Amino acid sequence: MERISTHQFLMLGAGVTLGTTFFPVGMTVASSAGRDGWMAVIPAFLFGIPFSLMLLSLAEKYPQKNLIQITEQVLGKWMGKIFGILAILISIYFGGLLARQGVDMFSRSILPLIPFWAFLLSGFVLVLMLVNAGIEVMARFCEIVFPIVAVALIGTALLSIPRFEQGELLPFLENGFKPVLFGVIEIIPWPMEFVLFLGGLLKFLPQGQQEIRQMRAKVWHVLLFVGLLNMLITLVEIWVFGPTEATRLTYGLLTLGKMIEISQTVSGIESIFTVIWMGASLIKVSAFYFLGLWGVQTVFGLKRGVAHMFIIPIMSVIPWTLTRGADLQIAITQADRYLILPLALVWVILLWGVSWWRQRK
Amino acid sequence: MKSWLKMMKDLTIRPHTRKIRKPPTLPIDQERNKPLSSQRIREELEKSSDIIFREFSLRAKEEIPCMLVVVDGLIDKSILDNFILRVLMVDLQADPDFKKLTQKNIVDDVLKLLAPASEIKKIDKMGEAIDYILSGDAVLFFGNLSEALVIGARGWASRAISEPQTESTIRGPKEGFTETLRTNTSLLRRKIKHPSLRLVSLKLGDLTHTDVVVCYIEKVASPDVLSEVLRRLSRIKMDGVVAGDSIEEMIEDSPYSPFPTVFHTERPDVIAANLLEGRVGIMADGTPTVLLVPVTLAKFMQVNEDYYARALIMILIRFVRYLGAMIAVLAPSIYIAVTTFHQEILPTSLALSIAAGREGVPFPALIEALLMTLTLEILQEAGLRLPKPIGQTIGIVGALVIGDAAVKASLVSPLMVIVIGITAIASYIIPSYDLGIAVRLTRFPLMLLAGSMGFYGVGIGLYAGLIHLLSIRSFGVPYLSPIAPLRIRALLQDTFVRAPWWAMKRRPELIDVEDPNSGSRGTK
Repeated sequence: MERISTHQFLMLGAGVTLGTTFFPVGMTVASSAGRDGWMAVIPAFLFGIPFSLMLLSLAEKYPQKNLIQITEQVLGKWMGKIFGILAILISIYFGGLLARQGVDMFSRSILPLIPFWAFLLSGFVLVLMLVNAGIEVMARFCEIVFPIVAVALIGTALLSIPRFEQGELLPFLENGFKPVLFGVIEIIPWPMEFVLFLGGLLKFLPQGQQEIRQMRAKVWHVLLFVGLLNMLITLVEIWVFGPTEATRLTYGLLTLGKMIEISQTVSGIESIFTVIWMGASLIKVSAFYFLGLWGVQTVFGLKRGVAHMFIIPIMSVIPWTLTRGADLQIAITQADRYLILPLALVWVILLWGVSWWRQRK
Repeated sequence: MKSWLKMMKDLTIRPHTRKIRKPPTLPIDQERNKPLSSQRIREELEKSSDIIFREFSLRAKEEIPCMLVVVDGLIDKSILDNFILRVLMVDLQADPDFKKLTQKNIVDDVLKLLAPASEIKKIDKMGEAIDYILSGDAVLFFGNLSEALVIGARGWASRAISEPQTESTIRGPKEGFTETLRTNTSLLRRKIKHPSLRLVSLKLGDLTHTDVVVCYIEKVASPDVLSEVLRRLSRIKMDGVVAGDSIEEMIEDSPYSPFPTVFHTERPDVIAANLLEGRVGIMADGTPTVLLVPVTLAKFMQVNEDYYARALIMILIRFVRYLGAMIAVLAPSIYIAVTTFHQEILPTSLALSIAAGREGVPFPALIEALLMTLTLEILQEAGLRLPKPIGQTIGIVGALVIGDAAVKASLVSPLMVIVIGITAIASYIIPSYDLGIAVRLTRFPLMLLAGSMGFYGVGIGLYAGLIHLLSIRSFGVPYLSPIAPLRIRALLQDTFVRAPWWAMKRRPELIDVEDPNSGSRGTK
């Protein structure tokens, strides 16, 4: 069976958690917390830590099982099936939305004349290649692509320094802590996407005591580092555009890319960076495809090939249902807020609680 | 339909598990395990004109008829005349003790008495006799006895040891392997004078019976890799292994990938260095190229000279090499993407100068680039196997005359000629010919994707290539190791940079070696 190392767990976790969250992060937190929005990012991401640790403790107790299999063992077969089916439907739906977001990013910013199905088709080919290659290859993919994405984000931030508008960030906490808290609540579902993915990944994690200890520390690293990156981007967007303009920009980072100029030689480098953002999008969509695939295989006992037949049609239809960028962003936010967050919260807490209670008895 | 399905099934089976072409079966093949018969050997081999049957008699207690069988051209005639025939027919005949010998024990007695021959052994099977004769040894039969003696006297005309043309260096050893297996093993033995260097012999090819040697260092090479190499080699069933290079295709991991997963070299120093890192070498008789497994992509970007010059210099040269490889892969597709879709990233003056250069060119950038790249490929292929002076002429005609004429006729823009020229030069930086070909192949789909979808298309091509490279393994070792999966030590020691020798205290951990300590403690 495939296994990933603790370092690969770190990179895979970071890649999946980050995904393309750096696009809407500025807009989302600025709309709730204004110029203090950047303060909301790290606390929101740290919210995912207890849930991830709960999952790792379950992995220690029930080795070589994914969350659905553990649920079947702890809560009974039918509860396992119910949670499993919910996870499958949510992951396929959310994966489809993210695929559409990737397409939207390209067709809006750099290639408006190319039909969106061409992006979608080529993107799905890559997702299928990655998923077919297995979780080990996906982890290795993250080992290469995530550092590049991180460097590109930091590079974008650094190259934006000449555009910083002094005074956009000040004064701090003008309206108190309350708006920041609202900002935190807005993006709390994002780390829960990683928690849900981790539920499927449990089966492929290293099983040794020392390695599980290492992974507990790596969970902190993942969420803190991704939080820091998102905070940096939010900070830069607010600093460059100001809170009002940042709220209006769905893809603030792409607009930043358009404004960058290097030594009066290369300008509008967003088209180069989009190749890198494409990798981030690929990781996220593939992660949800994997989640759906593992779910279908576990719940219905289907073989891999047949499970693909189940997922591909549904996931490829979803992007066609949303044609406007604003609708897409609303759909993603709603899916995060009303599907992923409640499912992850209820499922992990219930399972961990029952397991802990049984052990005490 | 059935045959089509069978063909598809055959194509999906990995080559090292596939049996191809059943060899013709001769009556003698059925008798390989039967007791030796000189008469039967003679009947079978006298149909070939190069087999010499030298008959004579030994006058011992009784007269014993003898027959020496050799292949003309594969035997060292001076050994044959001076140390076999002369000893048997003159020296021994003069020995009074020899006169007491009988036919019954003659094989064992001659085995003891034939002192000048260093390689001598007794055989009693038909198959063994035929194999030894056809490999160049002399086989001595005594009357109708079912035992014979094999006397090592191989010797044939062979190429002298010289520097390999494809792997020439400025510093370091200048010797290269030849077509003779024993010369090659001796060159290797001269580099590693330790009993842990193991040379395991095999015979491959049902008709060619090619001698193959698997070389490795005990306690350094991974037992898993070694057993996998031997397993794959033992499963090869084919008529002939004419050149050792054909073994590569039979044992490689990803037969449909353009990227090589087996490394080959003609240099003993390269083989020795790689065996010390835990790799396994495969040598075949008749081929100066030795195969090495397992390998990673980074291995194809390294040359032996990297280890003979100072580390700091080599870091810079490796950086240039990797940059060259990137240019070789990406330059035409980036040019196409920028001029077709993303002009906004160019400064206005450069954009205007490109537009002026392209004025009057009737083709889009994609067609222009495809035409030029195809022309380059044709020129490269045409000049490759021609005699040097003609090859140079083709280069001059192609690059200068055709290029200049194409620009003047407004078929291509001057900038495109520059881009393709830089691409061609950059592709020669890649040290491995196999990897260079893979790079040339990947350039075409990337150009097509760039021409149809700009940077997005380039991204699609790059990510597809990356996923493909990540899914390849060479004898169990991930192809992109030590980058992914990350092996910090190997990455810092000998991948993009080369650490100084005194800092290489452990083996690079790419391969699961038994003993990770390299023994290179250094002087600092």
